[in-house]
Amino acid sequence: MDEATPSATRKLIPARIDETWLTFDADLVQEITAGRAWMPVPRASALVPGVVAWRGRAVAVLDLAALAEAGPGRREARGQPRHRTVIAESSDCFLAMPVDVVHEVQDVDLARVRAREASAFPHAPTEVEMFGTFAAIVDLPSLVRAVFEEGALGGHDPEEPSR
Amino acid sequence: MNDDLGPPVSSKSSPERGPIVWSIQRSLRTKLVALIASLLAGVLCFVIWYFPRHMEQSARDWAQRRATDMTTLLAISSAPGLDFDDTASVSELLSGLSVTHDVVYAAVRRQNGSVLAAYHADMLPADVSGGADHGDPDRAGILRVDLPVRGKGGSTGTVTLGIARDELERQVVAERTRVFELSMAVFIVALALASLIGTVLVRPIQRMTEVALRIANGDLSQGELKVESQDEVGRMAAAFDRMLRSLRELSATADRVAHGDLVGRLAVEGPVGDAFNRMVESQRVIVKQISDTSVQLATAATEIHSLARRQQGTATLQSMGVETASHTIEALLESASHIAESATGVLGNAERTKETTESMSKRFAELTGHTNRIAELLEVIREIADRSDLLALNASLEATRAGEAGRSFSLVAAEMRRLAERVTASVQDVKLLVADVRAFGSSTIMATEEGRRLAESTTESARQITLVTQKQRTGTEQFSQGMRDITVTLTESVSAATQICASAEALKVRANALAEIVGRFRVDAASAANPRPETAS
Repeated sequence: MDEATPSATRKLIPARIDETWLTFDADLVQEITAGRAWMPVPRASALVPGVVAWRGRAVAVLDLAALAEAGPGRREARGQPRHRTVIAESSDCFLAMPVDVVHEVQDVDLARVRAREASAFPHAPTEVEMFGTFAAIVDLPSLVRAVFEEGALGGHDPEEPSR
Repeated sequence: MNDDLGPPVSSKSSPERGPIVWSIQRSLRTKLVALIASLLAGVLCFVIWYFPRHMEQSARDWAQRRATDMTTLLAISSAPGLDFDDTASVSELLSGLSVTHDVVYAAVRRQNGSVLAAYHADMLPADVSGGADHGDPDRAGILRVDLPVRGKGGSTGTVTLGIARDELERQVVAERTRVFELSMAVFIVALALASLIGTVLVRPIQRMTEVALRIANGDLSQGELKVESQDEVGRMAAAFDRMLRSLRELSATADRVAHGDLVGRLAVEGPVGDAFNRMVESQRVIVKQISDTSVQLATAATEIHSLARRQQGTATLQSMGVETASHTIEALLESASHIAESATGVLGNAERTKETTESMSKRFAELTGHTNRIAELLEVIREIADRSDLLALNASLEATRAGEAGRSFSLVAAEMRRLAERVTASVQDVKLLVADVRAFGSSTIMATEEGRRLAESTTESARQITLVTQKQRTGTEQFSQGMRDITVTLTESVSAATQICASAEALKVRANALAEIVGRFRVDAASAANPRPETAS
């Protein structure tokens, strides 16, 4: 999503993974499906451990829990099937992100959006107060680039030999 | 002393005693007279029986011979008359029989049986006279003789003579009477002589008998017999005097013994003296033993008395204890009855509890099935709610993409998602409740099963309790009966102990009295100084 586009409100889809609330731009989210088991890819990155089938194509699984581990996130739920899967598209790249809880689209006033202070999720420069906490607003294009193009996070499993 | 010499001789006869006893109890004189009388009676009976019979037979033989001789003479005398059939001469001849006083009839018959001549023809028997019987009833008293006659001329006939037996019988009776009278006279004279001789012979014996009777009655003060004769009676009298002296000495010694003097000895020689001295010696030993025994008896009686007292007290305490135990057993028996009734009630309750728990177990099994079905339905509802939630989320996305047109739809989707969320939360709560219900049901089933096992155990225990209580009641009843028997026995024991106590007291008194009596005997020279031994207190 282009943050430069002025809008009075911003439509965000909140999701929770473990204890961390995140929000995604509703325009990028293609579908929310039930939690499904993904197929692991040998020697894949820790952030993208496998793929799932969605509408006849293989969609890479982005492990947000592993990504959040750089901050205060928890690692024990890593790789495990979660209750919901958020299918999103960014830069013609589809991602499947397993989350625990997904809420309906929230029409958030831009005045409530602020720079990241309380949250520690990477690739989320802003945050919004929601459900009594601050939810990071994930910048999916930046995240896609970091994962698939720049490898900024160096998304390797510490226990796996790096490629 | 009378017992030692036997019962006194009695002159009276007892009717129920036999002749042997009678003859034994008679005096010697009577026996002697009876003996002589018996001998004389035998001899005279023989004389009275034998001689008359002998004389009668002799008279009969003489009469037979006389009749035969007279008939022969008549036959010889009448033979010529028979030859000439001279009735007159024969009748004259027969009439000469009138000088005899015993000829009843006489007849001379020819060969053809007709009577040639007859004497007292009316007395002739019918076979002689050829006519009717004259009806003489006493034909048996006539001696008849028939003798054939043969004359020199060849004529034959028969002479019949009948002689009366009356004279002969009179003579026989006269002889018998004379013999009897003579025998009786001889018997009386002999009896008098026997009595006189017996009196003379028995007089010293009678005197000895009188003296012996007095001795038998305890009178030894009789003078000696002093019979001077040297025959058997005199020697017996001398021996009797010697026996009397010995008895006097024996009496004196016995009198000393009776007064407690067991030291002296009898100077009489012979078996009696030795036996008496042995008797005194034995009495001395016995008195010593009795003295010792009386002391021991008194001591034992005292101990028995003490023991009986203690036994009486113990038996009384035991009786009281047994009575208390009997009451306790009665109460126990009543409790056993109550327990048996309660156990029967418990058994019924346990069986009903068992049935109830089994029914509960079935119900809980059905409830578990229902809860499983509810859980399945909840899972379906949860899936539906989850899918509704997904649909609501995706609808919200689509509404967002629709822009302003989808705003109301977005609200509906949001509301639908919240509804699905509440449904999911409610399903989760219901699942928790169902889980609680299932857990509760499982625990209830387990508890019910445990209760059923407990009910079975209780039933079995109640049954066992009923049996045991029944046995206990039976045993308690038997024990109660035994206690009652023991009570009776103890009561009898108390009574017996009381009697023993009284008997021991009496025995102690008797033992002391016996010791005092024994102490009067002088058994040795030393005891003369202290004649009374100590008695037990």
